[in-house]
Amino acid sequence: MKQFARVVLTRVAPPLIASAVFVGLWAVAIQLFQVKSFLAPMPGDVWRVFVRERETLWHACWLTGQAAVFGLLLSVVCGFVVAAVFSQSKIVRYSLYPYAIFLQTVPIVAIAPLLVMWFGYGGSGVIAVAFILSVFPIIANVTEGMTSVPRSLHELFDLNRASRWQRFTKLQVPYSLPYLVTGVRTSSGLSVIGAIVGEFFVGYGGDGFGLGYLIRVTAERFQTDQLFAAVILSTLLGVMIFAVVSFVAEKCLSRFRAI
Amino acid sequence: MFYSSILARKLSLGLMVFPLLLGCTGTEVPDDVTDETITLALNWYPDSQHGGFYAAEHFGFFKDEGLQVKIEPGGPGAPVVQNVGLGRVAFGVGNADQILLAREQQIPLVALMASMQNSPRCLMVHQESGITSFEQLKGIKLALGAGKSFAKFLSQDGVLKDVQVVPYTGSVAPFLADPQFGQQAYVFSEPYVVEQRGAHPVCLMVSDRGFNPYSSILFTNEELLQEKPEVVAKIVRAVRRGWLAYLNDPEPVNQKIQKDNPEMNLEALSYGAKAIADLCLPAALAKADIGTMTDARWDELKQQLTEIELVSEDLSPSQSYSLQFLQPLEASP
Repeated sequence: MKQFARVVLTRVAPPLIASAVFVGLWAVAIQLFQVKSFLAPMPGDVWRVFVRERETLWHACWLTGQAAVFGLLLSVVCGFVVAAVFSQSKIVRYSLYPYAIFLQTVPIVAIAPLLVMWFGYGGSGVIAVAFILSVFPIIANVTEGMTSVPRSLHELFDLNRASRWQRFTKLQVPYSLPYLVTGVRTSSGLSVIGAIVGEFFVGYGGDGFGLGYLIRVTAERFQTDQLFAAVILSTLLGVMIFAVVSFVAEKCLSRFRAI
Repeated sequence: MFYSSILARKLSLGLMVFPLLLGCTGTEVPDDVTDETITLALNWYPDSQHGGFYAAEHFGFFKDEGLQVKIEPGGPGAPVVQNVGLGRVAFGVGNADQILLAREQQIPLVALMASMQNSPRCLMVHQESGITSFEQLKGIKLALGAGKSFAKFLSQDGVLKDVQVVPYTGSVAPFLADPQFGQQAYVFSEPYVVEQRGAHPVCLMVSDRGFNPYSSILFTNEELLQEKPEVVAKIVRAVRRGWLAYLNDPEPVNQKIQKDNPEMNLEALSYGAKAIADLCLPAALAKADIGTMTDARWDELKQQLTEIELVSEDLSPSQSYSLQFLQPLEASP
């Protein structure tokens, strides 16, 4: 019981209080600067949207969330594999790393037609964009982890005449796991952004509309209160994925932590 | 740490919003309506649909009224409605449905004149698809801008149930690449562009289904209209004369348009100028009445938007437009 109270006080209460303060400041600022409602809505208006449109918002959040999570999982798997290859060969790493950077820097609007051609409109295209935006931090962090193993540990494995495979699976992989966690934390927000941006360009048909579509539609119709609701929900989605990733990471990796 | 990252995110959200709020002080009367330059913000890349505005500048009609006007090109996402609503810009161009949607959100816009009596909005499909009417729309992908009123109208009309609606990104490339692809268009613009590239487009006019908002409307802020009606009267008069001049002699004006929009070629603009004539001056309309609007048309649009749940029943359209500057034009001095 005391443990529970401590968790609430140290982990749950501070962000909630910060949110309340922020919402208060927001309302005050709008009144103070006489901000027009079509530029920034009052918190109360946004809350009313959450209540009134909760089904639409939930459905959109679910769709976007699915695409973001699939994109993230795909980027973890592929990113890990690429990093593994990079960690084993300097030549491969030096030749192909720039292309990994390309994945981070290419503007989605430029490659959207290509993505549509390869994946078509709909879920797979959106997941592809989420993947592209989230894979680089995984590659970069895991590669760094696998190649930063201290010399002394490598020498230990030399002494025991370890094979390349043993060195990889028993040394480099475990050592890189905290780095992987850092990468996935970074990518959790990016995957949501990717899913939303993906919806802008490769979207869904019929009634498959996600948060990206909602953002576009409400902006087009100057419905700023609904726009804010969709944007806030997108932020919360990213935060939620981040929280789940952190929780899973702590549970699985506690035995690997040195500290 | 977990919770400090959330705090960081919330703080950065707040920090991002704050500069936006700082820009929103006080007065409604546009900062730029003095004896200095007045800004007229276009809703898209400069095109034949803006011919009258450029003509007014080119033939000196603004100067005749003693006004200095700067035409500001627009594009996708250009915040013309917001800028005029906040008073940052004096005049804007948009379509009638946008005016009513803005009013629904308490943005104080007033429409002054309608460049096009009839809407140029159409769906463009390939001849190869075999589709020649709305009822035949099936089995294709159709690129429509998210949230557009005409799209919701067509959807409610039932003609989109067998097509796959996809996002419209402003490029005709996906249309050119696939004969089973259609997209939204303006009848005097994209069809010509794709024809030049070898395609055979077929246009389905949305107005044929009954949705026909006034287009390329000149609008302003309610406050400016109340404080400086004489300036507004002058601008409207100059623009109306501009449209008559453009329809009469588009070539020199098209060169001005192309300067602001190098992506357009002169042939396309010429074609556009010819094709737009019917929309601006339908047979029944006298030249002196160019730009005119009626209560009946606005009421009808409001009714249609209410039926598709884009505006509320109690929105009063009469606040959204003014007929006071639409007397028959006198012959130019």
